Amino acid sequence: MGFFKDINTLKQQGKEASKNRDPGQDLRNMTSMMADLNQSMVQTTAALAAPPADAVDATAQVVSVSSPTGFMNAESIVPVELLVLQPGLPPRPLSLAVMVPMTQMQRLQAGATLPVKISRSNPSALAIDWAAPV
Amino acid sequence: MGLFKQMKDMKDMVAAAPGAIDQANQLGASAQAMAAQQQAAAVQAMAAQQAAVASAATGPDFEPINGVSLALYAEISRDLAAVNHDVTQAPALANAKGVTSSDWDAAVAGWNARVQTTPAVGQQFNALYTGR
Repeated sequence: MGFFKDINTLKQQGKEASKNRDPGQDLRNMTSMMADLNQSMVQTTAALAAPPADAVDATAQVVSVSSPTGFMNAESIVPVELLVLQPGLPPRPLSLAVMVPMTQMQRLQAGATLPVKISRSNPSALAIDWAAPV
Repeated sequence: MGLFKQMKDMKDMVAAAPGAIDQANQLGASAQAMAAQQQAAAVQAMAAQQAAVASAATGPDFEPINGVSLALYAEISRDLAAVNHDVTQAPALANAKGVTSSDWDAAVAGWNARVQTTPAVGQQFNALYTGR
């Protein structure tokens, strides 16, 4: 008697679990996260792969930081707005999603200045140099 | 003998399963609530910090440099982006807006220094440049 009641309870729990899940939404969220990650990697790679004549060490001021959109390899994917600062040139706004190591999260604050690598020929390429001294 | 024992074990397992699932659901729900709470606190802290920086958008750091206001500086900077940030074209773009080359050079040096020392200037510049 108790056995069949327990089986029935398990069946109900299974139904409840599938009712509260939306695999479509889960996949949409994952696709959006992958798009952010892809954009971040394209911009970072373009900056890091720039030939020496094209690569520039600059700084970027953090204008705003949004909530992380995902996590990958223990790094948060964080959408940010930056102002790229180069000597002799006006600041240049740039919006992008950056991958932030857990140990560097505290450096990503509005008003903070971060060392970056950029490309002269590709204005959207940017890699934050987390290893550079503050 | 072994068969009945196994049947009893199966019955015990099925009896314990709903409780274990309930417990897992409760743990999941509390973990989600905690994550939401932490995220809300982080967003609030970031918003407060950004508002604090933006609220300081007045004062001597916002005075024009050699007649070039921050709004005009952002406008010419945007024009420069249209020519792929070609710095050699900057004086001509500035002249087109009534700014002499020497005033432009002074504005670049002065405004860049202010952006670096006063984050509120950077925020305001970003807002003027992007129109947001």
